[in-house]
Order: sequence, then structure tokens, then C-alpha cells
Amino acid sequence: MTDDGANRPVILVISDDPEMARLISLNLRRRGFAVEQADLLRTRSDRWTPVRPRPDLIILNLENPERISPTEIQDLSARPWARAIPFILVAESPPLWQALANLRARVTVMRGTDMGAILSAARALLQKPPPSSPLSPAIILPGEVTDGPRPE
Amino acid sequence: MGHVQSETTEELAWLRAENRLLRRYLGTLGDIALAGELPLPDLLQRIVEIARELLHARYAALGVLDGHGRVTALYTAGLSAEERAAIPHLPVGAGLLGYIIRERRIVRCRRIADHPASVGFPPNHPVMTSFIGGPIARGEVVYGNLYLTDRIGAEEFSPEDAELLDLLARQSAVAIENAQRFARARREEQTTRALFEIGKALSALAEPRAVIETAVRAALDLLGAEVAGLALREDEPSGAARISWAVLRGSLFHLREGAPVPAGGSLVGQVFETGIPLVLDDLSTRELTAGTNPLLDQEGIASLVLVPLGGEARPRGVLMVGWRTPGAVPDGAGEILARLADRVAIALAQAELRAREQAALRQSETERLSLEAIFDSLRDAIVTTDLAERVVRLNHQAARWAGADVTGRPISEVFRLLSEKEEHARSRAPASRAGEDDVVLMLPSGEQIPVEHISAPIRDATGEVRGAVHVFRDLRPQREVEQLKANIISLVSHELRTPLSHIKGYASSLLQPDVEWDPETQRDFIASIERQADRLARLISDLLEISRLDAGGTARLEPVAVAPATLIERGLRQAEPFLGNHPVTVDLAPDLPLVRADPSHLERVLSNLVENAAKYSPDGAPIRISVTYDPPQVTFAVADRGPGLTADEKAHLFERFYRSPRVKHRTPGTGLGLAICKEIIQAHGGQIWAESVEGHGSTFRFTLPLAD
Repeated sequence: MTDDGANRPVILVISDDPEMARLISLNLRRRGFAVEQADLLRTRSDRWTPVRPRPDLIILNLENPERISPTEIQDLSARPWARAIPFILVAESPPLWQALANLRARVTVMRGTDMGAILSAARALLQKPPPSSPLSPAIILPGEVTDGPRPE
Repeated sequence: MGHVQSETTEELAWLRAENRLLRRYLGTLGDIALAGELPLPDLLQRIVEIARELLHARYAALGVLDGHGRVTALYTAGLSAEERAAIPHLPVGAGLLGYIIRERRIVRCRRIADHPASVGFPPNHPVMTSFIGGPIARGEVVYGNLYLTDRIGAEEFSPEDAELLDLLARQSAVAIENAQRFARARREEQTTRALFEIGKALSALAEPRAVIETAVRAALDLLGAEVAGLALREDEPSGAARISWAVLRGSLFHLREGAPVPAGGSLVGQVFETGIPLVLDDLSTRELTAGTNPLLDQEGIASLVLVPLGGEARPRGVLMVGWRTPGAVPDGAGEILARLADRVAIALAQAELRAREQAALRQSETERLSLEAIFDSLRDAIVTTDLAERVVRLNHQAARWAGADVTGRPISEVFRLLSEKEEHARSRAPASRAGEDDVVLMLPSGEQIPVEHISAPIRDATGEVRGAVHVFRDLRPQREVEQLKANIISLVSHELRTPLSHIKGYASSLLQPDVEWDPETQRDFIASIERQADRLARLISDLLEISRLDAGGTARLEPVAVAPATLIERGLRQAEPFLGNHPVTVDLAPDLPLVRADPSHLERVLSNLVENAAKYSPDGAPIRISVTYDPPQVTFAVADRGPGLTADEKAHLFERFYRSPRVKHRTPGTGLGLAICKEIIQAHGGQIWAESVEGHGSTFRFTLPLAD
């Protein structure tokens, strides 16, 4: 599903919970973002294939983070098409946070589905230009990722 | 001439008679020489008869004395049976008969009454006049007396008669002596044989108590005693000693245990103290301290023999035989009892040793059986091996895993250890070192089992290694528990987290100040929050319910007689919010009886089954509830048109926290609902099961008993 509007930032919402994917998408659209959704379960066999148009931000919402391994997250993140795209990871899983943070500079990890926090993080990541180096410091939203990893 | 002829004829007749008499006499002499072949009473009777004939007396008698000078037998000739019966008692030796014994000489007198030693005749005694009598003696020993009265054809007995009497008395003494010697020899032989048999019987007895009883009985029988007893000294750990009395009187056996050892003042105590036997033929002649011999007093013992048991220094016991009359102790009783005591002491020592060995063996056997029971009841497989690592023994679990008799085979052939640690485990000398490993064990059947392997050397008493013991602990149950625990934590955390996440998502969406949601969206969000709150409440309710059931909550059932239709109505009402677009049909058989059920619990079962049917069926697929009467119970069924169940799902469906891999990530659930249903139905005395063909829906059935 792709929203109309070529100039709007495109956010890819990947979730293992369709209802939560819908809710996040609804919130993003009401804020003017173009949203694409990918169902983690349905795209399991061919997931991580390039998405067109190329998203400006990926929100990965994992209600059941035990189902995905840190290696898979790293695999996704390392794909050429996704390499430069900032990530928001919404999951209650420190190992996943660590896996992603170790690989990417522009990542925000969140442990809860606070829509205000997700929207703030999305705006922040989309406004900031891509860093010259993938190892540049990530954007960490104050107060939202207090238990998450912080890149050195 | 005729007169002469007549005299000659009489003389010839007399000579023939004398000749016959002499031949009888000589024959008797031959018998005397062999006395013992002929019974002594018969022989003495013949002597007394010959004496009467040879000495031409009307009456003749022979009295036999015992060792105490008392007449114990009287043989007579010339007295009729009536005359003999009229004599009231045996001569006691107070008069002339005692005199000839005391004086040890032949007495001859014309009138008995004229002799100074005469005391007259007892009443009813035939009147006798002339008398000749002499002692039957040999050396210093007097065996009795031989006497005759009323000389026929003369007023008194002649000196020739006296010579003949002396000869006959001497022959009688020889006869009695020979007979007594023979009798003693025979008694000795009998005693020896009896003692041999007793010794044999005693040595065959394994129980000390049986030895004691047999010994006491043997003493009583062997010596013809009236009372027999055995006192045994037992040394206590404290150093004190007690005795046990085993007493046999007649056929009654008494046992008195734990009495104090009598002091030396008592006869038994004296034998215990000195170890010297006591033969007391007449207790009345002995001064005894009153109360020191309670047994003797109690039994009225007048004569007795006491011999020590087991050595003089410190007798182990005292063997006693007693009689209630004085002078009843048989000749040689002390020696016979001592010989018996020797055998008893040996038999007792053997029996006690055997008893100790038996007790030790029993103890050892009990310990062995206990260890064996422990060995076999362990769930771990245990194998012992020898130094060559060949299987010596297996417990039940190991034998089950081995599947066949593997004794003598190398353990590495039977139980193969896989994994990286296998080589380490094998290279280790199992007999000399101990160790633990988590490895995979491959059984002869090919089955592989994760095990913890513990081995330790088996050493003998000297510490030398003789083999090894290998313990294989099956880790599967532990891992299953760990897995179940992990599943429960994962499931519960997910089931808690997801609704909370949704509630947070919807609530935070509504609260964002930059967006004004239209009323319909707001209602949708709030409805979602409510739904997720219900989901949370349901989870908590399920957890509490299963916890209650675990705590014996089914005992709190309050079953009543209730119509099946009522239960269905209540269950459906409960499930209604979850039915969505699923049409529900209810099919009740006519005239259904009342069932015995707790409605609140059955409401939960029915709503759970209906909710499951809705949850796992395609949207809009019908759900059918039916009830049939299948005497003696009523069967409820909830059928759906869902994907059906696989065999594996059917096998685990009612297990706690089980969630089918096909649906667990797609459909929320705790895996507790059906487990709760099963517990409730079983608590009602019913059964629950699922019928399904994969791809063709499922039917869950349960039964309930009829109301009384």
C-alpha cells in the first residue's frame, strides 16, 4: 500500500501485529506522511526485498520480538537499499536494540508504543540529513530510550 | 531183704532227686557266671528256690539291698501267693535280717523268737520257727541276705546247711555283682548312645533357644528326673550378668529371663561360683539358707544334681535335674549330667555363633536388598563395569535402555557416548577416576538421549580399584521442564505485553494534541482499548483459575441438578462478545435429563469452547452446539468449520500452555483455556475430547453425569 503524494516523506511500517501497524500508519498519515506497510508474517519468505519507492524511514514494530533474531535485524539493516535509511525500532528487546545500534548510526529504539514518541522520533529522523558516515551518532530521543543502547 | 530193697529204692530215689537238684544248681551256677544274660530277678528267684530245696526248708527268701542298705527287692520260695500278699511290706532290717547284714555272718537258731536280735513278725506273717540266714556279700559290699526258715525233717538247720547257705550266698553275690556290672555296662552303653543321639540332635539345632529346650528335656529324660532346668549367664554391655532359667517340669516348659545371677549362698550360685558339680541325694540333710534356693523350694525338690556348663573357671550356665523324693539320684547321675552338659555347651556355643552369623547374614541381606531396591528404583540408568570396562550389573532403567542382556559386553558397545566429550569420556579410565559430563547417549536401539554422565571408581576394602560405576541421568525431563518454563514465560509476557502495547498505542493516539480524531475513530480506538483490557482480564482470570484448580479448587464445586439447555444459554451469553459473524445453532435432543453440574464452571467450559470455535474458524463460519443423551450420561458437542486439528495438536490440545505452532503467532491465546476445561469436566466426573479431520473442522465433546 502506497500513499499518494510524491513530495511527502515515505515511511515503511513493518510490524508483526496488523492492528498496531494500522494504528501507527493512521497516526502517520494524519501527520502528512506517505506510509507503506509490510506485514512481517506475510513477507517472511521474501522479506527484506527492496521496497519501491525507497522509504525515507523504516518503523519496525515488533510486538513479539522473540520471533526475530538479532542476526535477521542486522541482515535487514545491512541490505544496500536500506543501508542509508534511518530506523525506528519499537520492541521490548534489548538484544535487538543492541544488534541494530551496533550496525547503524541513525537508529532510534523505543520500548513502548507511545504514539507521541514515535511521531517525534519520525519527525526528527526525517528532518536531519543523513550523516556522512554510518558510524555517526544516532538520534536518540530524550526520555524515550532511557534503557536502550547508546552508541559510543 | 525186701526192707533192704525198699531202703535201697528210697535211697536211689533220694539220690536221683538230689542229682536233679545238683544239676539245677550247677546249671544255675553257669547262669550266675553269665549273669546278665538271664534277668537278675529270674536268677535270684531260682537261687532262692534251690536254696529251699537244698537246705530242706519250708520257706526261703532273698533280700536285695540298695546302696543305702534298704531292701529294694525280696524273692521268696515256699510262700503261697496269698501268704506273700499278706506280708505288708519289705523287711526294713530292724530285726534279725538286719542283724545278719550288720554282723556279716551266718546266724542259725532253732526258734527265731529266741534270738536276741529278733523283733518278731509283722501281722499276717506266717509263723516260722527255725532259722538260718547269712549275708550276700562280696568283699566289702553287701548286696543283701539269704535266709531260710522251718527246717524240714529236723528241728534246726545243721552246720552243713550253714556251709551250703554260705556257698549259695556267695554265688548270689557273684550273680548280683555280675548282673549289676552287666546292668551298669548296659546302662553305660545306653547312656553313651543316648548322649550321642542327643549331641547329634543338639548340634543340628540352629537356634540357641531350641538347644536350651532340647538340653533340658534330654536331662529330664536321661536321668528320669521330675524337674530339669538350665540357668544361662548373659553378660550385659554394662558388665552386669543376668541369667535365664529354662525349667521343664513334667511336660511343661517355663522360661524366666533376666533374673540376677544367684549368689554363692544358693546351690546354683555355688556352682556358678566354683564350677564344681553338686550331687545332693537328700537335701533335707543339708543346711540351706532360707530363700536362697527359690526354685528348689518352689518345685519341692528333695534330691538333685547340678553341673556347670562350659568350663570350671567361669561357667556359662548350670544344668540341673531334681527329684521330689530324697535318694532319687541314680548312680552315676553326676557324671551323666556332666557329659550332657559338655555337649550342651558345645551345641549352645555353635548355635549362638550360628545365630550371630545368621543375624549378620540377615542384616547384610537386608542391606543388600535395600541397596538393590534403591539401585533399581532410581530413574537414572546405572551400570557397573569391571576393570576391562565390561558390564557387570545394570539397574532396571539401564536394562530397559540396553534392551537385552548385555552383561559381560564392553560398556562402550552398549552405551555409546556421542558428542565432543565422547572421546574424553572414553579415554578416561572409568575404574580409576571420577567425573561428570553432559553427553548424548546412543542406545543399542539407536535412540539418542541427552544425559548427564557421572562415573566413579569402585574400590575394594584395600582401596584397590576393581571397576567403575556409571550413572546416566536422562536430561530430557529436565529440559522439557525448562522448555515449558521458557514457553510459559514467553507466552505470558507476550500475552500481557501485546494488549498493553495496544492500549498504550490507542490511548496515546487519542491524547496527541496535534490531531482531532473524528467521533467514530475515537469510538473505534476506545473499543479497541476495551477489547485489549478484556484480553488482559481474561489472561489474568485464566491464570487465577488454573492456580485455583492446582490448589484443589475443584473441591469447591457446587454441583446441582441443571438442564443442559440452561448451561448452553449461560455459556453462549458469556461467549457472545467473541462470536463476531459466526452464526450459532443449538440442537438439543428431546427429553434430555438433568445433569449434575456447577453452572458457573460449566458456563466457563461452554463459552471457552464456543470462543475457540469462533476464533479458529473463518469469518462467518457456523458453529453448532448439540446435546445428546447417551446413558448413563449426557454428551455436549461444539463443532466448528475451522482448519481442523493435526494428530500432534490433538495429542497436546488439553495440556497447559500448549499452543499450536500453526496459530500461536497469529491468534492470541494463553494455552490455558482447554486445560481449564479439562480440569473442570474431570472434576465433574466427565470426560472431554476433540474429534477432527484436518481441514474439515473440529468437534469438541464432553460428558456430564446425570443428576441423582
